[in-house]
Amino acid sequence: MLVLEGVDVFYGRIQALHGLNLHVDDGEIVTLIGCNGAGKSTTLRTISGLLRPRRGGVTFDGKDLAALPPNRIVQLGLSHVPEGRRIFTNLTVRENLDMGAYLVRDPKARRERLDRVFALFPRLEERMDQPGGTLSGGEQQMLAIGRALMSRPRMLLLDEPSLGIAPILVKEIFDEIARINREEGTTILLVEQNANLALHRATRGYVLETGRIVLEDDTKNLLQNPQVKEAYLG
Amino acid sequence: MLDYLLNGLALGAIFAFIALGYTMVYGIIKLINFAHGEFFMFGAFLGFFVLRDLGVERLPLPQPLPILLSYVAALTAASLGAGALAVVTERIAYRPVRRAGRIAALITAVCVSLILQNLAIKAWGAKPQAYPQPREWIDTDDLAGAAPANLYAVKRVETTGGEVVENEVRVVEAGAALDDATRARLRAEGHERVYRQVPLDRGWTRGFVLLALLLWAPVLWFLVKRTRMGKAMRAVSEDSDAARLMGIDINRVIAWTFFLGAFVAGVGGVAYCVSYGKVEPLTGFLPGMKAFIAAVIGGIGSIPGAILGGLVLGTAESLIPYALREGLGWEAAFAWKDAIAFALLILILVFRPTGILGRAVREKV
Amino acid sequence: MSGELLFWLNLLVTVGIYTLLAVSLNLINGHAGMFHLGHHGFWALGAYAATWLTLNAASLPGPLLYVLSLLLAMAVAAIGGLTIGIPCLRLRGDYLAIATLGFGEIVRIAVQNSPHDFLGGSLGTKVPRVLMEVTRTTQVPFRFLTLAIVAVACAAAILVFRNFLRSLPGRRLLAVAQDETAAGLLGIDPTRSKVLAFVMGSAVAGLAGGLYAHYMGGINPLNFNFMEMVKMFLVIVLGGMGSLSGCVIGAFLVVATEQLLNRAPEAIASWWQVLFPLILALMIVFRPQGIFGRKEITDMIRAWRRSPA
Ligand SMILES: Nc1ncnc2c1ncn2[C@@H]1O[C@H](COP(=O)(O)OP(=O)(O)OP(=O)(O)O)[C@@H](O)[C@H]1O
Ligand SMILES: [Mg+2]
Repeated sequence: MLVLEGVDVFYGRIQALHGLNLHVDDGEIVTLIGCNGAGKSTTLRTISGLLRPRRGGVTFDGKDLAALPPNRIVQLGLSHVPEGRRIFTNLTVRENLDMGAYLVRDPKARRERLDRVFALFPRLEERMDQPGGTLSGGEQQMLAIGRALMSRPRMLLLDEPSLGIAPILVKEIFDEIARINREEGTTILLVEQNANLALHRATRGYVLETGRIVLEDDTKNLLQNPQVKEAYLG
Repeated sequence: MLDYLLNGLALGAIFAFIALGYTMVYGIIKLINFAHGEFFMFGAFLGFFVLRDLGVERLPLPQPLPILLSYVAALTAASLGAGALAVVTERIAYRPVRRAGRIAALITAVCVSLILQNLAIKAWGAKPQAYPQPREWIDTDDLAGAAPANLYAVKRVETTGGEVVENEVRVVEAGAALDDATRARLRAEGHERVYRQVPLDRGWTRGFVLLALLLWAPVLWFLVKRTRMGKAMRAVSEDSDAARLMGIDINRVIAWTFFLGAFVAGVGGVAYCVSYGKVEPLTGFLPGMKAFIAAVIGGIGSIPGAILGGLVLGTAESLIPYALREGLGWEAAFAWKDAIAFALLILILVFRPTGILGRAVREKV
Repeated sequence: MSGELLFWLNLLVTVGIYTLLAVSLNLINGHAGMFHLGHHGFWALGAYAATWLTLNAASLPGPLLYVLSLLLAMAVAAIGGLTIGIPCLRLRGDYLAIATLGFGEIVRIAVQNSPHDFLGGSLGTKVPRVLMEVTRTTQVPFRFLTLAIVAVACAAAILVFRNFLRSLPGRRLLAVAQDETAAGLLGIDPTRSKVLAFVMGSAVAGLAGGLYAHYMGGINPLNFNFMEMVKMFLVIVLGGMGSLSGCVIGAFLVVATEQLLNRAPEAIASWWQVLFPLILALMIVFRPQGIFGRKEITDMIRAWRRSPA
């Protein structure tokens, strides 16, 4: 479904990704783990079009993404929940969700998506008219995910959904993510610091170190891998 | 006193119309769009051409319809023209520098403003031109014996260059009557029509701008709060990358913001030039600066702030010199009103940079 | 022949005056990193202060009056710089730009509305010739003399600024320009450093104003409009923000372009008013470091001497 081949990405003169190869198949949950500054967010930003690769190809269902602006990429069914949530704090919860469905013109379809998101995260419905900035961290993360789901994506890119959230809420959020994958068949690429959690939820995983993929395997093998155990599961 | 207050409010309403564009553009790309005053000037010139040359006021309809229609046409042309210029400017001058940093963008804006000013001088000359006041067209035959106001007769004549122009002559002074002899003479000289200069009552112009602001404010509020594009504008202004991830085409949203801001400024442009009776390529400079001050006073980035700031500045510009003159006997106080506005700007920037309604934002440089 | 000579002398004097304006603006915008858009205000303050003294102390001997009026021009502009600097320099970036621009406009409005018998009001005023009688026959020597004075002033200003930038307060200023917060942590008072640069810069702009008033023999509020600010900015951007010697070359490019274009036929003459902002915008976007960047001519000559060897 999603294929990255030999992708090089630069910030000015600094190279952040070196010949990255990665693929995600239909219906999978794939995780990308690595230390701070390994280039995980950079990878997601490249896929969703916020960054342009200098070399290499990014394709989604065979379509070349590398030359498309982010708004066209969203249209193809790829939705990115950025690191740090990035909800619109001055817009209400409802307006945030409306923005998620910016490209959905049909009011009926929007309504359906809204109901679906409220079914997944009932708390959002209770806080519908509150400005996004007044939500708690966990609620903001739910809003960020809900907002990304509003466009009914076929694939979801999640960047550290557990960041700064209490363990109990993290479990709740991960349960919902798994449910989205199961019930709607949404493919998921999950970036996490919390490798333990991510490897238990995903089917396959990649390990990224300083902009290079150093390991790629099924998660059950990765969980047994001594290197991974040493570096990420400690 | 009341007269000064009303004058101030009307002037303030004009500032508010212009300030809206500053505030919207600043809100979305953090750029002080210096050229905004020139968009306004361009709109005022288009309105000028419509009023002078299109002849809407000569339509054979019952009064005051032709006069009203001529101003509606002028406002439409001014708004659309200013909006179009804003979109073009954004595309060729601002979009390329959007990522070059705020100072580079600001200098670009200053330069664009001067370039547009000087292009306007090249196109239309530097001299101020009289802005057409409301005119009521009357067939020479229809004129009753007495005329209440200045009457002008119009005749088409061929210049030595072979160009056909309309020649205007004042035939009757205000208050005097058009007698049969004069009428016969006019017809003999080939004047087909006569118009009456409708004296522009200050009360009317003031009422018009205040009413226009009253009508526009809710429209804008609705556009920004309720429409899809308005929500997208707010989203882009808060976090443009996150907005792109929603599928929002930020270039379109920014272009639309420029358009809307300049569209509203077009209304202000015509109103300003009608009340001052002239238009020139420098028309945009001072009101543009004032409107920026108004936006800062109200809290730049805030739409209600721009309206409030405009009204506050207009009133201050009228009442402070009034108070200085009446209270301190300083006769020249009104000549200093522009300096008062700038002093107000510096005070606000130093003591309350977020303005009256602005949110406190922590900004990195 | 004499016409041609007069033209070039006038051009060089004007280059000198713009060099003074540019080095002083450069100290503020280039070295101190502040975004100041009201330099034409200090220039006007200097010009009007010098004019005022010249008009009101006519009994003094000419050369003394000339020098005194220049000193007053510097003092008045410096006081202006101090008054506006202390409140405004806490502002940053585009807010500072707008506040200083507002100051420049206030000065222009003030002189424009001054009583006719005080500073000439909107029509401006004549400045009595105190240096020497200027007639058709003495134009050439007068311009030579002014050129010499302006050249000395430029050399002095560049030397003073160069030495200042190498001194301790100058290095503090550069540190503040680099990173205000870090400099503050090192115990440097950023506002003080900035006000110092601002006052020095405005004093030199005032000097340029005084020289200009005496040279022109008359002043008018229209001489100090915002377009002048753009010209000065263009000079430092062409010469390189932060390069003192670049200012001389930038000033020459700008002034020569303007004056040569003004000699051209009507149809193209005033196009510099479109051309300058256009070049400024293009430079800022594509080569913000200017032609010379932060380098000084002396550095380049040294590098050039070394390389062929
Ligand atoms: N805007 C930027 N400009 C310059 N360098 C950047 C920028 N963003 C990221 N980098 C650099 O690129 C590298 C990869 O950053 P990235 O954000 O992708 O890391 P990450 O794996 O997501 O880390 P974390 O777990 O901390 O979020 C880092 O070395 C970082 O310093
Ligand atoms: Mg990251």
